[in-house]
Amino acid sequence: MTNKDLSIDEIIDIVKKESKKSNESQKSSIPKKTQPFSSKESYTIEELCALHDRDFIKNAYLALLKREADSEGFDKFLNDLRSGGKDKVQILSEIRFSDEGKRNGVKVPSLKKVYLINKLYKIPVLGYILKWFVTLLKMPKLILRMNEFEAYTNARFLDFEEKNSRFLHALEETEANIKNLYKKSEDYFGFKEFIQKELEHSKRDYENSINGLKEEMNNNLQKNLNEITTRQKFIDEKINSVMRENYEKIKYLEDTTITLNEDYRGFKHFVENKLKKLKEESLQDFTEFQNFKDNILTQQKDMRDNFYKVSEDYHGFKDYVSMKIENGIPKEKFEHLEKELFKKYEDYNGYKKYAQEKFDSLSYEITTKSQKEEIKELLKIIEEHKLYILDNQKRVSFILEELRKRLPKKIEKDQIKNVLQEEDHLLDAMYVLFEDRFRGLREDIKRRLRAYLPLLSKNKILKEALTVDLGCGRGEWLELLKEEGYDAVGIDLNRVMVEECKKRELKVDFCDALEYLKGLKDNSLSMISGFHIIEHLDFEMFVKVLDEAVRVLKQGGMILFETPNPVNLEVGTSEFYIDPSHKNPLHPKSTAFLIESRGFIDVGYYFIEHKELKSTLKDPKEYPLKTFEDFMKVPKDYVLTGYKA
Amino acid sequence: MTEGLRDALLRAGHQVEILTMPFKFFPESEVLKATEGWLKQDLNQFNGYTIDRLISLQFPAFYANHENKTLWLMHQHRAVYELYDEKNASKDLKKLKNEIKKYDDKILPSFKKRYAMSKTVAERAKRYNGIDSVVLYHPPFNEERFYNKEPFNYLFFPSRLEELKRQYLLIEAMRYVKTPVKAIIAGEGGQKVRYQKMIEEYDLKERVSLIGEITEEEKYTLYARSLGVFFTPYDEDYGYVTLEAMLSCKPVITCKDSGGVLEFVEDGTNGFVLSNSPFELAEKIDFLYENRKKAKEMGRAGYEIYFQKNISWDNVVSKLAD
Repeated sequence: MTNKDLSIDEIIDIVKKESKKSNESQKSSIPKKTQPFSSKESYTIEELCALHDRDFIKNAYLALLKREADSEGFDKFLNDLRSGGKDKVQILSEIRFSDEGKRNGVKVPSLKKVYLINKLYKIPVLGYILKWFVTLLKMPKLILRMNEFEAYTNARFLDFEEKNSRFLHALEETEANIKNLYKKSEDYFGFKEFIQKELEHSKRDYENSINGLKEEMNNNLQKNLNEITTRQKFIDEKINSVMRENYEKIKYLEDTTITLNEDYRGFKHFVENKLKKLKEESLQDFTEFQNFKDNILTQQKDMRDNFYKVSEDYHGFKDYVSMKIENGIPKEKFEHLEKELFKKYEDYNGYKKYAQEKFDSLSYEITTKSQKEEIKELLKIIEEHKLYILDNQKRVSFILEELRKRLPKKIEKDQIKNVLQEEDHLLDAMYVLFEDRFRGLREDIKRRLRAYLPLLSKNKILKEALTVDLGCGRGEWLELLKEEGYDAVGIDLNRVMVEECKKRELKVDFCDALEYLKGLKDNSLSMISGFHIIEHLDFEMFVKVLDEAVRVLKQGGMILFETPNPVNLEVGTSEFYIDPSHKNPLHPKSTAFLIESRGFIDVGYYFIEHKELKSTLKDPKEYPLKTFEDFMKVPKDYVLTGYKA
Repeated sequence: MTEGLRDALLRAGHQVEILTMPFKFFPESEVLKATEGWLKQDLNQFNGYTIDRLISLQFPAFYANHENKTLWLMHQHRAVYELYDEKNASKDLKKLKNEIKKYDDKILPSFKKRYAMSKTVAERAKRYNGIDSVVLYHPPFNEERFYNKEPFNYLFFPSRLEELKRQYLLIEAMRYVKTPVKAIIAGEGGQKVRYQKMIEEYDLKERVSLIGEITEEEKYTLYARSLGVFFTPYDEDYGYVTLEAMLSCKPVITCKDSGGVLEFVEDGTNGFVLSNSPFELAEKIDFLYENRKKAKEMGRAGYEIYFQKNISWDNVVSKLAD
């Protein structure tokens, strides 16, 4: 076929068709090369001749040419071998000394000899003679080989017969087995049929019983259903009759309500009229009272202005006096000044009397008018002024005293100092007012303080020695102690407070707490108390006080300090800071620790819960701090106690 | 190649699993992601099994860590090595190049046994990453199906229609071929339209045919009936086409810059190694047409060279899994 004339499309067509046909059948003219199963570099002739017929040739190719036999060569050599034309060795030599064989170069000793001899055979005439000669030489070997071959063949044949009989035997056995199995399968089928019949029977029985049950069930259901319907009818009738009854009752109630409403309205009207009248009357009274109040206020204002003027006069006078005192003043001038002051003083007294009288009449008038809220307010303001007046009265009287003292003799510097020092106590009165406003009434305080009485009973030596209240203020605690029969003394740095207490016949001194304690002998007191004082001391001062307390208390003596509780959220974040003289909030834990560290034993603290009519000491553990509300519910004050060992 | 290796290992009695991930080579950030992902893999223990041996084949899977790992390098990320063009590289590509070079330089030397798919791949690894490796060839898929028959008058070029495979060299050469020899180009790819246009432009419809996708059987027959195989890619890693041509006892025409192909084609013995000039290529195409006997001889020589190189799975398995 001349391919030169085919077009490209034709070529592609042919190739595609051919590819469909191909699968395994395509063998190349040069076949595949694979590694032989035991590829070696050299073989002996015996090895290679050990195989026969097809195997021999296949192996020869693999060993000598390292490839599968091609169909051409294979057929050719097989033919040669079978026809007897060539013997194995000759074939081997032909293969080995072909071009390809030479290239592969597998060593087969003595094969070359054979090859060369075969070549000689090809020489005409001489070759034929040589062949005969060699064959003659080979004859004995050939006969040997033939015998060997015969024996081998016989052996093989016997082997085969044996194998064959064994095979036939095995075949018979298998046949018997198959027959057995067949019989078994027949039995099996018979059994299967039997089982099936049985199943059919039981299925039918089962179905019957199921149907029976179904019928029964249906009947029962029907009965139940009927019953339920009758019952339902009965219930419906009942409900209807009840509803009818209720309807009538409801109607009756409605009618009654309407009448009541009307009555109520009438009554409301009547009450409203009454109230209106009362309001008008009270309004009258109120306006009257307002006028009165305004009066008082204007008078107050006048008083105040006057007072300030006097105060100025006083200051001016004071400076003047001090100056004069330095320079020396004639007697007459003093006398004149004295007279002036006296007059002013008398004015004050007069005015005071007037104010008092007015006040008394006012309080009488006011109580008959029953306007309690306004009155309370007013009373408070008046008290304020009372105290202001009191204070100044004191100052003025003091000045007068000093002046009187001075008139006959020279004025000493100490006395001047005292005058000047009075300034320090100008605030005292204010503080008293402050206390009144923010701490509460005296009676309330006393009621609260009763909570500590149980603590007092714990102190065994209380009756044996003196107890001191530091910063006793208005003396509520001292009063309580006195009532309980304890010997109590108080000290305070506020003159007005001290005066108040003295008026109530309480033993109070004007003195600094630390100085006072320092002045006492060792082991002389049974108790030292302090209510709302320690928050006014700075840390160092408080420690000093504690140290002195340890020294001064008798064995078994106790300290008792009440102070605001910063654990309460309100106190800790705002209320504590209302009093500007408070130093820092004192946390119960750290303060207790401090007291312990300064030498006290049995140190503890209680929260004080204040109810309307009673206050109680509480264990802090009763106030768990988990939610926000808990922090608001903690009592606002707590008390620390400690004992001397 | 991976499946071939797996099958060979299974035949040898080993338990084998292939571990792979889809690989996005664009954008560069995806490449980096894949790299980082593989770097994190520790394959010593896996779901309670101990993995005795890891054979790493290509980027980026060869970053996975194992105590007893062998490298049989198929591909590195060519885009950042020999295909990298400094002038036209984007910023991302430059960054990627630095990252990958850093990782390769660190990870590749950590393999104690290093093999490469071809000399070309081994030389690249040496040049860019400074590592030595032993060349280990493997047979193409279905090597036993290739056969040889009396050739028709065409040259065969089977490959994906891609820029790197350079089928256009054949098309260009066919313009100058004087003998009636034809050219059959098999395969699909992005360059198909371009090649079709070229064929039309040069009026080669009667001489050159793009037959698209072919079946395996068609492939064997197309090889078997060809006059010779034309295979001129650029810097090919390995080149199955060359081996398939040799197994089909056909001469191979290739170029000096075709990379791996040159490891199997000896100029004048089983093919020709030429420049890219279409005139030179056309000359040799004509030569094959006019000297059919020589062509057959060269084909047979190629076949013998194949077996001399001991390209077998048994050899591969013995080296990788001993």
